[in-house]
Amino acid sequence: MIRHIVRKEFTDLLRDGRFRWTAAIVGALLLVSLGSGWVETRRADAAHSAARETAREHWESQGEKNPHSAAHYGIYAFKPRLPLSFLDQGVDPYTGTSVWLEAHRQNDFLMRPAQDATSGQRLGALTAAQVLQHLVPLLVILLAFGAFASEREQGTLRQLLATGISRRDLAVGKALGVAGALALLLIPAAILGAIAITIGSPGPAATPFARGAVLTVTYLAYFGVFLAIALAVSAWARSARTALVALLGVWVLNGLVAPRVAVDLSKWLHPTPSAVEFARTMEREMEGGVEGIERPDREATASRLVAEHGVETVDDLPLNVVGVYLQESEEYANQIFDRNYSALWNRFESQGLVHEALSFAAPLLAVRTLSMGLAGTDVEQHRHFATAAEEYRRDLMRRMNGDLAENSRTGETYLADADTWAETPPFLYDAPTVGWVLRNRTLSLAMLGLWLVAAFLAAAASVRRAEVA
Amino acid sequence: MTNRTVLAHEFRSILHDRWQVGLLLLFALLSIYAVFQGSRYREALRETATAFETEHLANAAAWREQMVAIETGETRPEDDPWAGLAMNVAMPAVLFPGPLADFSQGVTDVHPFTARVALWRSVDRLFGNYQFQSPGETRAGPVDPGYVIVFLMPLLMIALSFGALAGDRDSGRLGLVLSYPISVREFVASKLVVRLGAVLLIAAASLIVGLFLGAGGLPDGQRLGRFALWSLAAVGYFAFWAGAIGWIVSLNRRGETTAMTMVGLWVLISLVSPAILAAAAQLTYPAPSQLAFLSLARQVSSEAHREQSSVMEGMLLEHPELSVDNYTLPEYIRESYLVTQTVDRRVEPVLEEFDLVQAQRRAFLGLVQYAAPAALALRAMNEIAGTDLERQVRFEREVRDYKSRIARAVEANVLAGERMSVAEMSRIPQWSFPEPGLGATARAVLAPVGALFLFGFGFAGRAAGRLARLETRLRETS
Repeated sequence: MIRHIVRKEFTDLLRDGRFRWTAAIVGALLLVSLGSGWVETRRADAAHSAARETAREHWESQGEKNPHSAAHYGIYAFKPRLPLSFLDQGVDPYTGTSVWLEAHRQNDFLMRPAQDATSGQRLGALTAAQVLQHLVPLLVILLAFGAFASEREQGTLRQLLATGISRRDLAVGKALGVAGALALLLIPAAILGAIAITIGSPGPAATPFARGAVLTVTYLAYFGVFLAIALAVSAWARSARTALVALLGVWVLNGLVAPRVAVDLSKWLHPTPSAVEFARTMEREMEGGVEGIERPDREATASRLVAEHGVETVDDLPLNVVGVYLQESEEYANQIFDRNYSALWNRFESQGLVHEALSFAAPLLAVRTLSMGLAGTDVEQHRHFATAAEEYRRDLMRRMNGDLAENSRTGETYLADADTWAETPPFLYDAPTVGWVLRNRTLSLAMLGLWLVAAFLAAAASVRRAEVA
Repeated sequence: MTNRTVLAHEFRSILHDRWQVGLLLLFALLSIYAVFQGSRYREALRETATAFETEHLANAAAWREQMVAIETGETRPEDDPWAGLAMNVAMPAVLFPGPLADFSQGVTDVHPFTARVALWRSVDRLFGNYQFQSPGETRAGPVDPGYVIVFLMPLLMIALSFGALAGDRDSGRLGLVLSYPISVREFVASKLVVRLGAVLLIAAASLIVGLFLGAGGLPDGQRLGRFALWSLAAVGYFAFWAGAIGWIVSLNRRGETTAMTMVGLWVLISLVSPAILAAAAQLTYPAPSQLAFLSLARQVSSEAHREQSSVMEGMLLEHPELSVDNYTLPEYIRESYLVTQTVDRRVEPVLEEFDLVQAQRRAFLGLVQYAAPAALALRAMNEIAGTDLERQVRFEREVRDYKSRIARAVEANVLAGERMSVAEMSRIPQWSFPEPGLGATARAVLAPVGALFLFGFGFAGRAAGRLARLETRLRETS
């Protein structure tokens, strides 16, 4: 019996001009967004590879130089686009793509793609994530709002139930019918997405297929939540019109109101300083010092080294005091960077946690967090990259200062040659695995699971109590 | 039943409908919230810009004092060899928030609004540390009156008015309308006037609150003028939606079909068409790679460092009067100046290409924006508020130009290794950013705002025609 209902529902939907039109529009948008996202990611990837190679070339070809001058010359690190970022840009357009790694400083990221965007894009960029998070749920609502309400209005619900079919089977049949119609739209998109991942650049190790599989399940769960809510409301509402209005209200609250409320609430709970304030605080701490962090002193360093090596003066030391002192200064600065950047990142992550917690009120918040995380475009993965780049910077400075300290004497003019630069390992970034992402997103996963269970329970209860006339 | 009776009945029915009252209250709350949020954002932006300017002007004043001390003999020149070092000129360049930035934040959150203009920095490093909010917050976008007008107001208009005719149609009372001494057109218009008028009143009241709140008291003439223009753009967008809603109502479909059509139009107008147009602009006029720009600046800098002797020779060929050999200051200062100047000069074509692409995109969008009324309205609102992309791009261009003017003013001292005098210091250009007047802004937004009204009236005209035909049809069948 269920099979008949599924077939009827599916056929009715296919015959419905409203479905054909909306599905065609949503499908076209999904394909265009997938295509344009993929092209853009490929373009960014090519630019990234070229810039990375050029940066390395600049580093290696800097000629004879004092290692500390080379440390000041520094090198750029460029944030790669992960394979799934074509599906969801996340915060990538707003975080910057490159960071200059130089002596004494942990710099901010530069070159935010959003600066290149037109003002119209602030209304919402055309990405697959936008279509999946906003338009597909709307399509689900349009497909399912009349499932029970319209049958009741037309008087066919009583007839259907009179045939002996149970309410549960009727609901399952209707849900599968709508799901079948949706599958016509989503399966080709999923296949295209998989092809795009396959032929796309693999990027840094980031388990793209595992991420893609979890992302697919996440979105299916999200659509399932909307389908169940739509059936629940349709069974509850007195008329199809009431069902539609109520569901559109849910859609507006979920997609337009909740994300902004979450941002404001998280900012209120965990305020972050402006970049200018942040930079000023670090400058002040760097100059004035911080309690508990010992500031290096060149004279003290020299005296200690003289004592350790049992020599008379710094000139007798088998190393360059300046190199040792510079490294101590780096380590002093690093403690101040860690202190400030950790606090800032922790605030951003606390804000993210508020968003996840608030997803009990709007499933979009959980899905959006998971989608960004799996696409590799969330704040946490930006932090992951920033931390890797900073570790590389610190290692680079350690090498440069070490080279200066070990290969020259205090007061001596020392120039390192091209071999020194070539021996420095390049910056290689390994993106986190899907396991790392999911461990960071357990709350969102739990919330989405709760929504799915609650929505299906609500649908079951509502269908059980639905009036037949 | 007269027009007045319909109006009174509609008014009462709104007051007695808990859902409609709830929606209106929610809209009022969101509008006031947006006004407060917008005001807070503008104030925070203004405070940051002011603090930045004050701090750097104080540094510049302290730098000048060192020179005064040398000239008055308080400090011996040999005791302070760095005093008056021309290379150390550093001036702030600040873009203060537009006069109505609290109404629509525009693109101010993703573009720099402060710059420390220093000769040590090449143009690729002029703007640093300007990010104002967390990335998540920037991604979510603002909750300001512009957002309320462009996104939420049409939704409320739809929610209140989709049943204006469909309610009577679905309940089979449409024939009853014919017995009223007013036409179907007047009947629908009266209903829409009450329902949509309530939305407009709430929006207007919140905007007036915002006018005073953002001004921190009585607004000045500039703010008042821009407020009037901004409100006109908002009313234009309201008129567009009122006309479109009237037209969809006049199609005389079932309630849910009417609601679906309206929401579909909202999705198309507010979400889909702006995104498609923006994507089309980007694909048609792709911007040069930012990473390639960084690489180029780096490469030029490396080359200039390597070729410093030839760079120096080139400079001396152009400025033989500077061929002195008794510099008292370290050589690297002069070299650094020449290197940054070389970088500035060589990356200029790429920066011009960035500007050109932005100008081409704006021109492209200027033509096709009429297909996306939400983007059209928001762009006009941003331009009036002084938060548009063009203003930001102009700021970045002006900062680069300011740096080259400062360089020209002090170049001779840098290259000759001479200390600057207090008189020379006073010739260092001061930062100023010319803003377009109200008249120029009004002329710029005339076409988009006019188009919104035109679309609205066009829809309304079509609706009136359809309703007249509907009445004829109903009378024929009754």
